Amino acid sequence: MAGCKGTIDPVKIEICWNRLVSIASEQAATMVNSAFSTVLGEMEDLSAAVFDARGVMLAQSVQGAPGHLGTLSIGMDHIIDAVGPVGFRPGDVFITNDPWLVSGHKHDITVVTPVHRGDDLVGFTASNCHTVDIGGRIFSAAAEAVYEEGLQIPILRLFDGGAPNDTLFSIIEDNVRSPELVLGDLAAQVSANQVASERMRAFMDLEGLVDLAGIADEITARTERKMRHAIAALPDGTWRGSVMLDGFGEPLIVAVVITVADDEIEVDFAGTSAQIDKGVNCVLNYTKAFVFYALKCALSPDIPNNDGTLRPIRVRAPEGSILNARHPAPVGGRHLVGLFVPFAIFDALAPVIPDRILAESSVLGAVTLAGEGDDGAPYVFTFFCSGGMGARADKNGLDATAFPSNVANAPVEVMEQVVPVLFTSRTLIPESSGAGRFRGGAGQRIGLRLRSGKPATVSTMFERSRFPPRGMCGGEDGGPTRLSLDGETIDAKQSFLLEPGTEFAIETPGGGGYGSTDRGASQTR
Amino acid sequence: MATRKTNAREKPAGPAHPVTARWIAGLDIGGTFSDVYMVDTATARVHRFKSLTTPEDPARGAIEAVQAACGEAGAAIDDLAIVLHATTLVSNALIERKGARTALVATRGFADLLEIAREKKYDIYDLGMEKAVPLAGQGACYELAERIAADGSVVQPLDETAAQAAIEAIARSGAQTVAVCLLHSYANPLHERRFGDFLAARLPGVAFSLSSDLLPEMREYERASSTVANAYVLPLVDRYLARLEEGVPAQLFVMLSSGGITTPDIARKFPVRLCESGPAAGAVMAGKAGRALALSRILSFDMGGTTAKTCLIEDGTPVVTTEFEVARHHRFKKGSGLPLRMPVVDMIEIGAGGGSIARVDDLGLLKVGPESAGADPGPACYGRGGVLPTVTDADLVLGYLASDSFLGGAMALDEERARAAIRDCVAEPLGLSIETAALGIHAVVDEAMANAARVHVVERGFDPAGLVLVAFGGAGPVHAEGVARRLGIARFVVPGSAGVGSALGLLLAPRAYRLSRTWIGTVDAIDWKAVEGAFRDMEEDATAILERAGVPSSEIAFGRIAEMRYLGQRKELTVRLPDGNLTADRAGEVGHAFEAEYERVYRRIHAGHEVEVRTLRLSAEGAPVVDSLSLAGTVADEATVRARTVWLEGWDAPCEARVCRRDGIPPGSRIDGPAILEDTYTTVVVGQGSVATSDERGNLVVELGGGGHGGV
Repeated sequence: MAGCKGTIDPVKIEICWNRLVSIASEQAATMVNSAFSTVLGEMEDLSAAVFDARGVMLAQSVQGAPGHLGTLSIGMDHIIDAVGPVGFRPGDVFITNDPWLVSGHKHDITVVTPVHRGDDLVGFTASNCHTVDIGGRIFSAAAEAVYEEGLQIPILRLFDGGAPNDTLFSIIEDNVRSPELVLGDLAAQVSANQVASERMRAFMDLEGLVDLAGIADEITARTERKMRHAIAALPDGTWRGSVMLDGFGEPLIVAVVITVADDEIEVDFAGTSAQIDKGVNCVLNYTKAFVFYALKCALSPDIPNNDGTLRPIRVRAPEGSILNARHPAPVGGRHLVGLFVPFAIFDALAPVIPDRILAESSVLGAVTLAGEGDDGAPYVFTFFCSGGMGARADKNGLDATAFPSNVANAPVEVMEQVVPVLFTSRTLIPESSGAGRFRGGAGQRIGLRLRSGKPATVSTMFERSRFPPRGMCGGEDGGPTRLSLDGETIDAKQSFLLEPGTEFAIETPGGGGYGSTDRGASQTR
Repeated sequence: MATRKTNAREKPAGPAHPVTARWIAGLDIGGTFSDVYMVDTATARVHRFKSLTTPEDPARGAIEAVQAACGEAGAAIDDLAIVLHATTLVSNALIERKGARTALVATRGFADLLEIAREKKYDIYDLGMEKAVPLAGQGACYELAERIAADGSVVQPLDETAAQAAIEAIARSGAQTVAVCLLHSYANPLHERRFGDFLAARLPGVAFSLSSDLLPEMREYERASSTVANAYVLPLVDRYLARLEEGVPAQLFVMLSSGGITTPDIARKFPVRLCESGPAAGAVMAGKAGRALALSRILSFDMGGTTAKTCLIEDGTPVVTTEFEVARHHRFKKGSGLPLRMPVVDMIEIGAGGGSIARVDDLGLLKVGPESAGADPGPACYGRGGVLPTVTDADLVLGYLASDSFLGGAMALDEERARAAIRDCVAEPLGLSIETAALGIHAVVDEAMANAARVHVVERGFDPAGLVLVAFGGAGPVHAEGVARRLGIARFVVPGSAGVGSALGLLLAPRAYRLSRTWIGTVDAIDWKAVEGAFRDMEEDATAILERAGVPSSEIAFGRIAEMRYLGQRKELTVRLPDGNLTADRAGEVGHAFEAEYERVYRRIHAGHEVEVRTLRLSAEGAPVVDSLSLAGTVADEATVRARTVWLEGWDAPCEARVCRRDGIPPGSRIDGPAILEDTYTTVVVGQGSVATSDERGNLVVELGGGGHGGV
């Protein structure tokens, strides 16, 4: 069969494209299957992607986290700049967790493996995973500067021509709380890149390709064209949107101005709150990821992601704002702000494409429990919980489903096996659904008590207690976040001591409704 | 008349045989066709039969298929000693929601567990995503005041007054069956059993299923989903098997999703385990064919009208997993269905079959499937009103299929319609010739199947290139060479009865059962004496089940398996435990077995890291009902040799291929490609440079040549 010189026929492109997506997905599966931490293994907070030798992203794993969309691609550019195109040798593996270079907080570790055939650099495999600990403070939004948030790893060789960088491994080992989990997950990343690199070489052999640039150009050009078609179908114009956040004491605002001109979109976050001295600030890469995610969902949801998706989209955010934070702003819990970016964008686009977006959703909340069992064994455990997803133009929102993040819950039976707690309930809250022609998804009530006779420290990271998910096109708002101790409401972002016998309950928000109820019968369950 | 014969030409009806119950039949009721593979145990004569499935009354259809097959074979229905059965009844009921009205009983505070599920989206970009709707709706969930902790201790005893009240409410609701899934019942089934006793006493007409009986494993959502599905199909399977036993006076056995054969009473108790019985039977057949050829590792490849199934098989026995999903909202999107935890042959199914539709998408790329033309209207060449081009249409245009020999000539194919459909929908939009477009369709569907197979194999830690492909199903042998080439596989095998592979597999499957228990502890600290005790309990239970199927307890082979991982990992590896008594001083052996497997899959180990046991699994296996069976059974007649013009992948011009009638090929023959080898139910395509050899067992073994295929 013809090589990749000149034009490539559509059959060949389809075949190569599918193969590359499957390689990236296999890469992700290898990481998840050999992961040590629940954050990687259970929540699958990761992304994996394959690139050509220029750093053009060809394919991303299907199970990628929305907050990683495009960030690996930007990170790859930084690494190629830093190392230089001739600096990559067979057996090298690179690492970094610089928040400003890749995905916005030090917990995300990026591992990049150059792929060689013989001595020729033909591409890269890269992955980005949320590690369980990176030293500094415990995973939280409490830091006042990025220096408190743990170990920062610049772009370094983790393996140099196949030899492990023992110095760096020792530094990591001595700076994190659970080195066996952190290094175990890191090994999973290295394994996964290795497996994907082997597949890339076999793929090129089988297809008779000497480089990946030709196929990369075809794939990204087709994806870009599709995105441009979708944008061109929108009317030209400028629209504004915003969303309010609980923040810390003072509310925060994410404001956006979207301008559509021909087949391009500019997304400008002018008017967004200035960065604050709590760890919720987003670097621009992370903001971009959620812009790309929101626009891809609305405009071009059905093709695999690659660099072509991103080309017609320009993103700006005021420097020094919560969406383009300046070093050394704290960024540890940046998802608490970043997850709101899609809502601001959908708010702006509501007049333009009301049928392709959804009402506001609950955002992911997290609870960390730390204490001692009756036998004196210490435990630390984080679990996540979701509320309702916003209603859609033609159907109800999904109950207890995360949006825009995508995190699975942990089974009650599994959690009770790991931590000395007894869950008292996990039930939907029907009345939390925002009413409308279509109702929002229901939030849920999760109650628990300690089984241990000793108190535990509980740290909570929840939004939307003051600003519940808004309805769309006349739909009503969903119910707010409510945390309580024996029925007494407590603050949604705090640390406190939970005494044995006290019931701690979380009520997650319901999704906003869509359309006013008087336009038709309310669709309830 | 529900059963329609599509072909009667393969075997002339033989002379009438003396009436003694000596026939054994495998009966596989599939989505489109019902297949029977019959063997006369006195003469080893084989008869194969295919008819259209009658979904409107499955029991009648099954009985009529058996009657018709017997008629053709010249046997009376009373001549049947044994019938081994696989059916799509359960999966159809779950997909089409035609089961019983089912109530779920859960621990107080957790009645919404089916609705809440796992909180995750299976497609992150699709804002219109829908989740699979639970089989027991929110109004059908009842709560019990009771609580058991993770260690099995009772935190709150079952409130019996409240339990009776729940039963009254269930009675009033008109529920036909009840599923009971209480928290941590895998660790202590006390409350579930007590409630089951109450149910049996108060509502004797209502069937129920306890999660601690069906699946004593951790993870409440998956356990509840499985238990509800089991309860949902209880009455249906009970009625079906009763009618079948009445209509077919032979001893009946049923195929489980795990590839083992069981008795009707176990099938009635755990009917959900029948869900994948047909595909499992196919995998068993492929495994036996591989073992007969002394192949240690094969890839089974079963391609039918709507889907293709592929499965890695080691040492003749399909790998069994416990993760399965049914009734997907998007058939080929993982996570969009209802999870079922049950022993099931570890296979991957993709939307690529003869009926898969080809189109050009809005990126200007050629796509094939997963939409299928099904049997109605079917591919364009069926001439039943289908106008969209399918894989079968492409295969016809390329000369792989002939218009006059499909299903032994019982069904004429219209090549002009096939060409027109490909021209309008693929060739013209892409500016290609009809033949090039057809080659493209063939290439894309082969690639899709190879891709799925590659992920399946690689995830299990193997390199596809070292495998041998065993191809069967109506379309499998047509596409075997293209799929094999893409996987770097050098050889494929087409067994003698490839077209009715699952029905044959039924005759070859062991009488078997599998049990499991959640059991957690690190290899160094676990109480191995208690583990040994748990295995012995399971062995006792399995022995009782197999004895009822006629396997003497002395002939049962047990396999002890542990799901293990490094402490803190999420995903377990399946590790076969060393034979003999498990004691604390053998912990090191178990640890080594785990690390060997870990290194194979992930290319590294974590030396010194603690290893944890999570689940104990027992497999118990007896002999197949049919003790020995040659996979042969074809009778040589004249090899009708003709020639046909075919278009092969990688060649710019068509070439002449010889066409042979497969049953006319004497053992030991060598046929050089390009060649088309036809039998009644399938066609083997042998490419340029490839060589097919026939063996005494009726297998065709094809060695792939370099051909002109370049990379593909």
